[in-house]
Amino acid sequence: MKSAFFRTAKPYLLVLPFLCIMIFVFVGGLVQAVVQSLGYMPVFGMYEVSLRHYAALFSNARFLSSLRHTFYIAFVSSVLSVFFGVLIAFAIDKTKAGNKISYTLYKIPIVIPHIVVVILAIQIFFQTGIISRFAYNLGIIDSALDFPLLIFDRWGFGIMAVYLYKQVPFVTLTVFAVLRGLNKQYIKIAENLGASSFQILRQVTLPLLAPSILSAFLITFAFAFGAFEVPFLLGSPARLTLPILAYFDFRSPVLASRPAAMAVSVSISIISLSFILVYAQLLHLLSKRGIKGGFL
Amino acid sequence: MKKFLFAVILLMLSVAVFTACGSDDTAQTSSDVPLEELRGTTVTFYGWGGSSFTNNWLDNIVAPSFYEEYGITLHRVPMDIGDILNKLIGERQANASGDIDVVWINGENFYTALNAGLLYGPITHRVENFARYLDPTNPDNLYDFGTHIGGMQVPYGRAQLVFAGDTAVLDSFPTNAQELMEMARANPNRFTYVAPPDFTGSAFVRNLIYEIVGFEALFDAPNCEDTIYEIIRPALDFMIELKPYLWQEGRTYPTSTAMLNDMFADGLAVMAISYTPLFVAQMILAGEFPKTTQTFVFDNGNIGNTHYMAIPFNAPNSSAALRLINHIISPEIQITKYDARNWGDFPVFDVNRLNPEQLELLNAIDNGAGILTAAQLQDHRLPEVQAYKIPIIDRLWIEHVLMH
Repeated sequence: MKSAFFRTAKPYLLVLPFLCIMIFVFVGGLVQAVVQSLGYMPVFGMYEVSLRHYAALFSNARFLSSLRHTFYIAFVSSVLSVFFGVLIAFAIDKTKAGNKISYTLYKIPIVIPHIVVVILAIQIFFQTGIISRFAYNLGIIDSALDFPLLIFDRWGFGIMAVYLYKQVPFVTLTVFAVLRGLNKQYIKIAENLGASSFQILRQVTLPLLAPSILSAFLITFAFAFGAFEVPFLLGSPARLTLPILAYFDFRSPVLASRPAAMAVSVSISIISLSFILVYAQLLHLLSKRGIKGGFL
Repeated sequence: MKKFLFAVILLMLSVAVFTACGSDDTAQTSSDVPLEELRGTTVTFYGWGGSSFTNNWLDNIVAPSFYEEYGITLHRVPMDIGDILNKLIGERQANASGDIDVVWINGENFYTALNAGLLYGPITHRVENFARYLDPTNPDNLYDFGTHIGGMQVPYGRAQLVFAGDTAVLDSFPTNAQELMEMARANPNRFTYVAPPDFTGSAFVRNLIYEIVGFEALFDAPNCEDTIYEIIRPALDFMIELKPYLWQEGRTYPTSTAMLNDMFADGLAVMAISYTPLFVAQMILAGEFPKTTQTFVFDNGNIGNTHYMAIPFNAPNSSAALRLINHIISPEIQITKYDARNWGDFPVFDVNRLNPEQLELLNAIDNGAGILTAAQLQDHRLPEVQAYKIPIIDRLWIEHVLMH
C-alpha cells in the first residue's frame, strides 16, 4: 500500500521543484494581477471588487487601437514567417544532405538575440542608417529626412523586419525536421499513380506537414503578440502594442489607475491562453483525420 | 482523478513551506547606530542609470570618498523609478524586507511613495549637512512639485529644462512659443520633441502649456481631468497646430531624449531638449554635438525641479543610508557633481553658507562652451505644478495631440 503510494507520487515529487518555481513566479503573479485588476488593493485602501475596469477597456479607444495594432503585427509577421520558412525548408530539402552551408546559415539568426537584431535594424533601416546613406550618396534622396521612416514608424515595419529575421529560420527548422522525417513512400505512390508535382505538394506533402506548420504559425503568432522588447525599442508612441501599453500603465505613479493597468495585462494573458485552446482544438481535428504531430 | 489530487496536495504543501519562509519581519532601523558598527557594511543606492555621467560620478567619486570617510561600501543598482516604486509597492503588500537603502526620487513618484507609505522618516533633521548648508526657506527644500516634503526626502541636485540649437543652422533661437512655431514652419520635418510619459518630454509639454495659458492657471486648477482639459486646451490646440511642421508631421515622436539628441547630432533635428542644464557642454566635449551648439531657454522661463534622495520603509541599512545622504549633500561632493565633466548637475547648497575654501573650489569649475550661467538659469526658472496633475496632462496629450 505504502510503496504503491510512493510509486504514484514519485513523478510528482520529481517535478515539484519546477512546479514550485512555476507557482510562485507565474501563477503567483497571475493571481496578483487578477486580484488587482478587480480593484482590490487593501494595503492602499482599495477594497472594491468589480469587473468595471474590464468593461471600461471596451470603450477605451487607446486600448482598442493597441489591440488592433498588436493583432496586425503578430498576424502579418507570422504569416510571412511561415510562408518564407516553409519555402526555405523545401529548398533545403531539395539540396540533399550534402549542402552543409545552407544547414548552418539558416540557424545563425536563431542564436543572435533580439536585442542585437534591434540595433542592426536601426543601423540599417533608420533615416541615418546604411540604406539611407547609400541612397543619399547615389543621389536618390537629397537628405536623410527624405528617406521613408522604417523604424519607429506607425506601420511597425522595423518590428516586423526583426520578427521575420528571427522567425523565418525557426519555421524552417520546425518544418524541415518533419519534412526530412516524412515517409517518402507516400510521394512515390502518388507519383506512381500519375500525380503531378503540384498535386503531390497540395494533397500529400502539405497535409502531412500541416500540424508542424500550424505549430510554427501559432508559436510565432503568440510570441509576436506578447513580445515586449522589440516593439518597445522600435515602435512608435502613436501605435503601442498591448504589452507596451500595459507596461506604461503599470509604471504610472497613480495607484488609482493600477487596476486598469492590470486589466490590460490580464487581457493579454486571456488572449494568449485562447490561442493555445484554439491550437489544441485544431490539432484534435487534424488527428481525427489521421494526421498526428505538433507540440501538444 | 487520483493523480490530480496528488498534484494538488503536493502543491498546497509546497505553498505552505514557501510562505512559511517568505514572511520575514520588516527590517527595523535604529536611529543612531555608532559609526564603528556601520564600518564594513554596505549601503545600496537605487536610481535611474540611463546616463554614464551619473553612473560614473556615483561609482568613481562618491563611492571611494564615502568608503574612505565612513568605511561603508556603496552599491549602486540602476533601475527606473517606475520599477523601483513597483518593487516597493510589492514589498509593502507582502510586508517583506527589501534591499534598497537610498532611492533617487522626486515629483509624482515622491507623491505616490509618500501616500502609499513607502518611505522611512522624517529624515532631514538627522542629516547634519542639511541644516548646515541648505537654505531652509528655499521652496525647493520645502515643496516638491507642490507636495509638502515634511522632511521625508533630502535634496540631491537641481535641474532645469533647457533647449539647444546649432548657431550654424539657426540664425536665432525661439524665445517663446510663437517663435517656436515660426522656427518649426521655417524648418519643416526638422523639429520634434520627446513624447510623454518620458520625463523630459512631459516637462517640455508642460513648458509649452505655461507659455500658452500661464503657470498660475494650471497650478490653480482643481484636481479634475475635465477642468484641466478645458484650461490647457489652447495649449493642446497649439501643439496640434504645430504637428504638420514636425518631423514625420507628428505622426510619431522620439520616445527618449537620447533618441532626440542623436537626431540632433546627426543633423536631422534642429533643436535638442534636455533636463540637464549643462548637457551641451558635455556633448561638445564628447564630440557628439558641433562646437557651435548653444543652450537657450524661453524668455518667460523654463521648468526647473529638484531631485531628491529618500529612504524606503524597509531599508535594511537606514543608518548607513543617512550617512550616505549626508555625504552626498556635503559641499565638496556637490561641487564635484556640478563639474560638467563629472555630471553637470546643479548643487543644492546655499552659496552664502560656504566657507572660503569651498567657494574657491566652486569658482574653479569651468564648465565649458555653449551653456548658460547659473544666474541666467535661476532668472528663468519656473516651478513645477502639483505632482498629481502630471499623469493627467500626459494622458491628455496622448489622447488629444498624439492620437489626433
